Amino acid sequence: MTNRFIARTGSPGAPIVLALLAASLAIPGLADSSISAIYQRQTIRFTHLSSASGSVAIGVTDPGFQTLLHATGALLTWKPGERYVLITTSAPVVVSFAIGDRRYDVGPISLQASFAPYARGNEVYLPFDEVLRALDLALRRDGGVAILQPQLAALDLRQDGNRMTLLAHGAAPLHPRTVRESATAITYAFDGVGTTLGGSRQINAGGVRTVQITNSGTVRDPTTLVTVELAPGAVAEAPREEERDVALTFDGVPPAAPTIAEESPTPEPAGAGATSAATVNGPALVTGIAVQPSADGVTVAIAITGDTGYEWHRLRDPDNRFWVDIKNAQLQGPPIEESASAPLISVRARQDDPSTVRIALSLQGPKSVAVTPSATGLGILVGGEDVGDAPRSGSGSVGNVVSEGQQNAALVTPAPLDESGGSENSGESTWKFGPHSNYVPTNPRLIVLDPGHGGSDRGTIHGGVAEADLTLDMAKRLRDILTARGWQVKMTRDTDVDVYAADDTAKQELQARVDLANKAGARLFVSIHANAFINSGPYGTTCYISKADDVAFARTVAAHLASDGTKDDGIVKSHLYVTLHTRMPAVLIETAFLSNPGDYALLTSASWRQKVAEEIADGIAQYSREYPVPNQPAQ
Amino acid sequence: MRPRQAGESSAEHLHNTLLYAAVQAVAGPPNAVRAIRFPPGTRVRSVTVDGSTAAVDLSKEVEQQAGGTFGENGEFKALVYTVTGIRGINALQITVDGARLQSLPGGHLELDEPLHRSDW
Repeated sequence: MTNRFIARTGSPGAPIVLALLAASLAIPGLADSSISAIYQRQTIRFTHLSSASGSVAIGVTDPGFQTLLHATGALLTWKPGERYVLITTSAPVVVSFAIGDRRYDVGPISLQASFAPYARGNEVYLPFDEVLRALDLALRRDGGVAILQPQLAALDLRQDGNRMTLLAHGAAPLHPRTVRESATAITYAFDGVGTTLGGSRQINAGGVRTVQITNSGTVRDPTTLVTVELAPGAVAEAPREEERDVALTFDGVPPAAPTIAEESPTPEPAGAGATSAATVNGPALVTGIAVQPSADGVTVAIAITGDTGYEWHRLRDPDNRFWVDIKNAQLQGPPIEESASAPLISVRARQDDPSTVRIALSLQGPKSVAVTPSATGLGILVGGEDVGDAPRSGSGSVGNVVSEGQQNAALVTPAPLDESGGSENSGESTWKFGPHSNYVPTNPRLIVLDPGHGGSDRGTIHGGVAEADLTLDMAKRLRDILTARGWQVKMTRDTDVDVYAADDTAKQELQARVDLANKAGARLFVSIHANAFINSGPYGTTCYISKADDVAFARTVAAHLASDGTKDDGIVKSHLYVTLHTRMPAVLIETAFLSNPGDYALLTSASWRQKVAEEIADGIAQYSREYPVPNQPAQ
Repeated sequence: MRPRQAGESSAEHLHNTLLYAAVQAVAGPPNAVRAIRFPPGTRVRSVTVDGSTAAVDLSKEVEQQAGGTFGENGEFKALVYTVTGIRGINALQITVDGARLQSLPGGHLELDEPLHRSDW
């Protein structure tokens, strides 16, 4: 079970510093002012500056701004005439601004900027402070010099049984140094980053008693110190870098009694990882909870200051628990846990993760629950009567946040694929093909083998091994086996060359391979490849297809390759050029991943490549027996 | 993405929704999530809508793909499924730096015609 807590207090320092800078720049009528600021020892000059409502506006085509975006790994999407300016941070989080609208979105969170982005000529001006915050930067002053200071932007806490992990996230790659260590406390220094998270927080779980965050160093050379006070017997593991985050993990001794955190009313909603984006806005404050009996039940009044969204859920009878998550919010004061009169059993409130306050109700049965925003926050009316099939979740907003934003976002939720390569939408049951072709091979004894890549295109290269060489080796082995079994074989290449011409385009190259097979009237087409990925995780053998005619052939080959010694990833339909345009049954075999150590060992073994060639040959033999060419004797 | 604005035509709204969806899909989930991703630095340069076909113009970095068929297939499948999830869009034409290309250098997918969900 994972719980997320908070180890941050608002950001009282930032508005003052930013206000100072804004004041110094807010010259009336300012149109072409410029400032220089230092980011990571690099001086960046911003020239397309303007002012709006007393705040600094930055033009999106400002060369200095482009330099800053590039240096932080952010990307900006905008074309003259377009209403939206989208910035993808390195996190990545998409920050969206709309011309003429003060609201802007940081990932799923909708916020208010100090002024609405506006267009002037071919330039669009954005609120600079808001952009910097989204990039996890703070504009600080060192004497008369402006410094863009990377921030330790978030410190999330993740509990897993007796283990507690602090995940530090910031604008720059974080490299913690252990500066003090004793049996009761350990202090890490994060050099190069400042923070507005300063303060101390009680944790009392997973071996961690408190976490204290302090600023050290100078504005130009900031250091953020994170001191973790340990419970007796707790052990600190070495800091681990996870992508851009740093994980600090502590092992505690098993607690005598469950903590409040472990009484969490629910598992977290799927994918409910706290987003650091939540920290860019001044959070809403949950200032109090009042439980009042009413004519037809009990009203729970939640006092909230600020604008924010909420989401509620309830479990099905007999587990009669209800909770509402108030987003981008901080609970003022300690967690609340009170028993309450019927139809309630108890009311609890706590900071569920760094940006979410959870109010949980235990009900005496499947009671009706109505959630309504009010002038002072949120009202929850719990009725006395049992209801049958009550809705189990809902959402809305208090204050000025538009809740439709979230619903609309769901419409365009991207469909990323996990590294298994599949998704709920994939699989044979959802494949759609055109009709089977009436293709009859003019040369039913001919197989075309296509060793992937070659010549000027080496394919993927790992550890000095090029895909183009492996595919040629495997194809030659397969050719020899097939020839010995009485097949005719044509290779799209049998040396290390481009099939069309050196330095040709990808399509010329692929079309040349397709043409060779189509013109020869071959029975079957087999393209041999080695896969790769940007990390070493994925491994296995995959057969790619595109046409209806490919399915039975690929199934037979894949069945023979299933025992090749690496994972069987089955058949994947895709829009691949060679399988799409060859007229005969075709398969593109990604034999194994050069980027995975286990698969690499297989691919670089001659006996494994021989085994794979034999399995493909066996698949071809079985297929040709089971699917004889019309009016031709089976092979 | 905000709901349709006052004064925003349905065509503008579709365009804005598409732009946002494409940028989100190319950005992918947060780094801590292990996912198939477009090559680092790949950016949506612009989007256009022609009837029910969306066109997404990607920056040159998309050609630096090192993901093999596995990565290439996953990247484009995710993008196609994302934009065709928008009401009124059922196909996606890819361009790179403003130009159609038949397939990526050293690549495997055919990209010169619009892609559909049924391609997967």
